[in-house]
Amino acid sequence: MSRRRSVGLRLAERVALRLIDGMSKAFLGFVPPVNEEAVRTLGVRGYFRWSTSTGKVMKTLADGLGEAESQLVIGFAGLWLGCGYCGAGHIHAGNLILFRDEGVLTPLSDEVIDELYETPDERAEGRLRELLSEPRYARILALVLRVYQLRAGAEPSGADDDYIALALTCWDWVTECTIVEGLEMRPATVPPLTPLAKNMALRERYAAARAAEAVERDPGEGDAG
Amino acid sequence: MSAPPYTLTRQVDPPPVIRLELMRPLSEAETAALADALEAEVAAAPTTVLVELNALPRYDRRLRQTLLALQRRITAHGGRAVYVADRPRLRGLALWVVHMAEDSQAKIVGNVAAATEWLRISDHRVAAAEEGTLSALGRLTKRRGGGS
Repeated sequence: MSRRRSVGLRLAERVALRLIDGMSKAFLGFVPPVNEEAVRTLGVRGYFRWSTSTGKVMKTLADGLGEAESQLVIGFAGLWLGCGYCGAGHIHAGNLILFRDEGVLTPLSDEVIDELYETPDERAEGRLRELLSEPRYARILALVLRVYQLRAGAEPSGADDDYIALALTCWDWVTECTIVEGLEMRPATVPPLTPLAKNMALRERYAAARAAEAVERDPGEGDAG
Repeated sequence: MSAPPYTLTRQVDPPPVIRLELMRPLSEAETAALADALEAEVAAAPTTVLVELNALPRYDRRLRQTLLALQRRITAHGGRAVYVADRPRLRGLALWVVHMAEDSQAKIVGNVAAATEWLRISDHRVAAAEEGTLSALGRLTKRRGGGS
């Protein structure tokens, strides 16, 4: 933490923030609301160390676990830590990738993310087993359960655990700044935290599929306007 | 008569800590009483405070601000705090509190065993996360035979 919150950003930091916001917009298609807090907390050099390292971690996790799986592991790492913004944003990213690649809608809807945000750890494992009971989600379930188990003190064992442990320690670092947005979030308002967010056509197809799924589950849903 | 909103006890068994357990959001008078009671505990010498949030069914803005004020007192007196919360929203609350209080030594964990373990070590939360990330990333990159 670089300095007192009561001190505003310096001129050089404000200039750097504009550059950072522009880079975010080009990379993700939107400006995450946490950039200013990250610059305030870490300073400009600290911000670039933080964002560069996080980018390398995300690539390493995607190479090691798979693109969608890595996003879901990151999402649950962020959610466990209490950052709803990271949780919802990366779970959305994993969902979007699976929808693009396999045409599936995972059970990890906005309502479920909200529910898991409130679920005590001792009940979370059982709930996740219910939600991800289909065989196609077996690997995702195994990875996500390890997020909770490693956090509860289990010893890492095996290659997957090394990647999950990396996600956990990296998101300890990330959520230090994102928590300012992550405490009072509603999942539906958080965009997928991936460059895939720029693919608006995909996001619209995904949103339409989720809406159709909700109507199918509860036919009265479509009447609400 | 409603149940007390918190308990504040001194644990003498090692590691010595002040344990604050919150059971529900506090009224203005209860907030003031807790602030005074905690001040009396932490003002004399740097003290470790273990804050248990598990019993809280919910929290409101006042409780958020109360926790922030308490954390600032602990920090100002050179003490350190560890928060125990068994669900994400409460861990988020604790992380928000220690972030806004700019206390890089405070920690958030999921259970009392992890809190007790953490109390045995000296840890700078943000620096430890950065160092842990870079060293784990280095190990995995090396194992995969990667360069940069």
